[in-house]
Amino acid sequence: MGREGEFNKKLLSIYCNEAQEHLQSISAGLLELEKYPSAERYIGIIEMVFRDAHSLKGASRAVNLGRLERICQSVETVFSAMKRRELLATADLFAILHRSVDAMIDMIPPPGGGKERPGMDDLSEQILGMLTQVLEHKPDQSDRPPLPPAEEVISPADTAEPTPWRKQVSADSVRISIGKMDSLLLQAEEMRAAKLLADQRTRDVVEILAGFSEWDKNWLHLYPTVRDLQRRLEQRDRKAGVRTVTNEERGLLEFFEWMHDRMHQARERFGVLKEAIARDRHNVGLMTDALLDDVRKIMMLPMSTLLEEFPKLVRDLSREQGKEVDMVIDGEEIEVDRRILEVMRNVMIHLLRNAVDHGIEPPGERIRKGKKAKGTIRVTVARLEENRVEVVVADDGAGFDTGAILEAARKRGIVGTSNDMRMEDHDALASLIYRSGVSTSPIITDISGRGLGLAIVKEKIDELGGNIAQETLPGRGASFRIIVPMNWTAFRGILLAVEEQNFIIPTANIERVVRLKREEVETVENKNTVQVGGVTLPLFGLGDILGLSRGGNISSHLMILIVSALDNRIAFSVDGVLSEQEVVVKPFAPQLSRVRNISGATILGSGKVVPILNAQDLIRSAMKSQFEPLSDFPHPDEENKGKRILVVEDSITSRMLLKNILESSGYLVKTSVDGSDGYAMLRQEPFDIVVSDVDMPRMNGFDLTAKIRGDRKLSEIPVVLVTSLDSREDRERGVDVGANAYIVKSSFDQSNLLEIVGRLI
Amino acid sequence: MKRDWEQLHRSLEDMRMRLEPGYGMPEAEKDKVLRSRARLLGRTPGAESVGERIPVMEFSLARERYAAEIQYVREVHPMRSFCRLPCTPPFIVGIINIRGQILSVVDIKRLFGLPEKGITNLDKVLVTQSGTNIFGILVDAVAGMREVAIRDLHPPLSTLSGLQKEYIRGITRERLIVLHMENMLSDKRLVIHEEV
Repeated sequence: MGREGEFNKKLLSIYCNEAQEHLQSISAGLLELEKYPSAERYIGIIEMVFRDAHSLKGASRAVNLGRLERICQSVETVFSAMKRRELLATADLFAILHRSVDAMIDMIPPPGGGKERPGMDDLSEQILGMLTQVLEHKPDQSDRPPLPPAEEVISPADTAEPTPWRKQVSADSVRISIGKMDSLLLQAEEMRAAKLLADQRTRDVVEILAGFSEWDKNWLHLYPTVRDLQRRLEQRDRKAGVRTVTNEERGLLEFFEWMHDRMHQARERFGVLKEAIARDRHNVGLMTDALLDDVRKIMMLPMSTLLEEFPKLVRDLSREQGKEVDMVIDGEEIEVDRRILEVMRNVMIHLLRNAVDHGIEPPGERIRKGKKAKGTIRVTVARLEENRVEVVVADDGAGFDTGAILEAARKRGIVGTSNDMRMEDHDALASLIYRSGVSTSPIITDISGRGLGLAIVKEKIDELGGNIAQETLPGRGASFRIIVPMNWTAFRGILLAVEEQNFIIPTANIERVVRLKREEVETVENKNTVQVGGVTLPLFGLGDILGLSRGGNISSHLMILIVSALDNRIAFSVDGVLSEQEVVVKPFAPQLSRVRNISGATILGSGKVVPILNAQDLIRSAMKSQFEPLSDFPHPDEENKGKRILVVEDSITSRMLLKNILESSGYLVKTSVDGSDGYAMLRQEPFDIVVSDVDMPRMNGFDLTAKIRGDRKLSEIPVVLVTSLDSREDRERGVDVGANAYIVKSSFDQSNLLEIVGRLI
Repeated sequence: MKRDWEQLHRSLEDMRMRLEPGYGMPEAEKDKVLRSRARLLGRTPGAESVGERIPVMEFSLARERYAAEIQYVREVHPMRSFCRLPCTPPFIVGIINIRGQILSVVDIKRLFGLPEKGITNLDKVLVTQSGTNIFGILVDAVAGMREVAIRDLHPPLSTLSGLQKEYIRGITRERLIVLHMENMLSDKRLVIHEEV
């Protein structure tokens, strides 16, 4: 790539960041405007969003993005009309403006590549059309909305109060890309190695000095003998009157003298060196600590960077579901390590989705219950002692449907039907909602219903070393209280040896380490178990679980770790437990997005890289391997062998794609070209599951599903609808006709489909 | 001394005719010849005979010679602080610490499913990067930089499967396998994302 190309690429990447920021700011401003602010705020916000649109227009022109420039132009005109109060601030107008912002976000070119995204012409024309229409149908001056009189309006320059939704950027701050910061942090953390190295050097010199001491001791013992020998030889020569001592012998004696001096000098110099190294080590240590401390401070970002995207998410979600929700945020100025914020982002999305999906009721129902039609989700951030923060996500919705949770848990076989669990019991409830597979949603969609949401939330927070608690008042709302560290701190881990390799396992997940005699392993139902503290636990070889070849450990004793995670305790045998130490987690580079059983790596003082084990995964792997022949790794393909799937799809490309994906997982796949063809096949041969498109000629997917449910012989077959129709009505229609899962093609990926199919068969 | 000037002029003219074949050509003709000559001289050396050339980093692995386009090679790193990583596909040989970043190291022989022949001494790692995608490639020895003419590249052997073909840009006459780094680095299938 030429220099100019390189420059344009860089320019474009800067533009992308800038555009995101302006659009986020406009979006936040619109949300604020919708809350009927005071007249002066109204003008202040309009000024702000107007400027954002204007700057974005200029920036778009600079990088030759004509469409974005034109839309900005129109949006800018709309804002200025709103400022002059020529345009009524109606819900419709806001809807159009939100759509415009969304469209512009979509039009931003992908980072690192190319020009405007393709296929955006229609969208852009549509948006421009809507905006033009808005401007052309400006109400007459006489129709003007009753707004506060103009004299109350203060120009935004005079308002002392800074706008809360947009931090004032002071002149003494600069922008640095996250990539550069990450690299800085990595290098600063590497300085720790320099500190450890200096420690090693000090030890080396001390060892050399110890060697000198030994030399000294022996030499002091021999030195008098050397002197004596020298004297005696000289005396003999004097008596005899001739020189009997050869030059070589004299040389040898002189060498002893010389060495005596030299060794003492060397020893002294090593002593000085030792002092110097110790001083250097101390200084390097101080400097490294100070550097790391400062870099960590740089990594701290206000919570607002995490939270500012959520009001829009909540707004979009609630709109989609016909609900009205207000989002209130408190404590957004509190600073937290960016890496923790990144993990928290997923957690927050899950919790907010849950609150909108399951918490807040539709307006009608709320009014019936005597609540305000508009629900509220409140996110409160507070600083706690010991460098921890608390994030509370509370809604004023219906609270947990404890009956449904229990029912779902029973269905999944987590709670026996006879189990008389009292739902007032918070601990029992807690353990259920975080269990994966427990979902109260009647249908699996791509966003909710798989019962994984809270399980993932719990896992993420465990990873951060935090905890989560929940509270529910039936009919009055639910809240989740999360406590996480503010800094990305080191955690403590145990260094293990397994099949000649080293691993670290978080100390927090180790309940006990015990040494047992080999005879103490008992076989129960063809599975190995051990008795620890009066409890029988399943036993697995950690090497087997990790798929490492067996070196054949034949010692008479076993080293056993009791690992606890996901409400389970399992014993793992290892070859050795070496030490417990502080560990700094290093995430893997992007190619290793997620590795089974391993969450990252750390670097030991010696510079050695050691993988860190993921305790949750180990438990899952162990539970899975229970059903496999001993010391073999799970093969999902084997499980699926012989399961028959019918794919109903009219597009040949999609049909082949589905067939391919399913066959590569070991399923037997037959295809048919539309609903009636599929139905005919179902009547001829047995199938375990149907995967069907919705939009098809002759008989569509809804009708096919209804037909299957209506057929006495076929009614039990699970049906998965794969579709490009993503609307609430369609999803509900899917539920109505009796589909078991509904996957939207836009979010379609293999693992999603395979996972759902695997669950339903 | 007497001189026959006439004679002298004639022989000079004769010599000039012999030396300059274009002498006496019409001006337009002369211009054409000169232009074509200028074009010929102004040409980049070798451009016509070999076409576009790409700079590559040549390396060897288990007796095979490979090359990666230099634009994707970030650095060559000694195989220190390397660690094998279980629970990953065979083509991931392990992880390595490069200035605090934990990178995965790929064995292209395993990736191509080629038989394990020859002894590797696992000496170096070629760090390759495109955008945010980055991984190391296992290397026995780095031979250095060279240029490869795109015209010289022949399609990979037909016995290779689709996957392997996508990752090989071509093979030169001297059996240097030029990798298609952009395809490798942007391939989602090479990203490990496995749940238990």
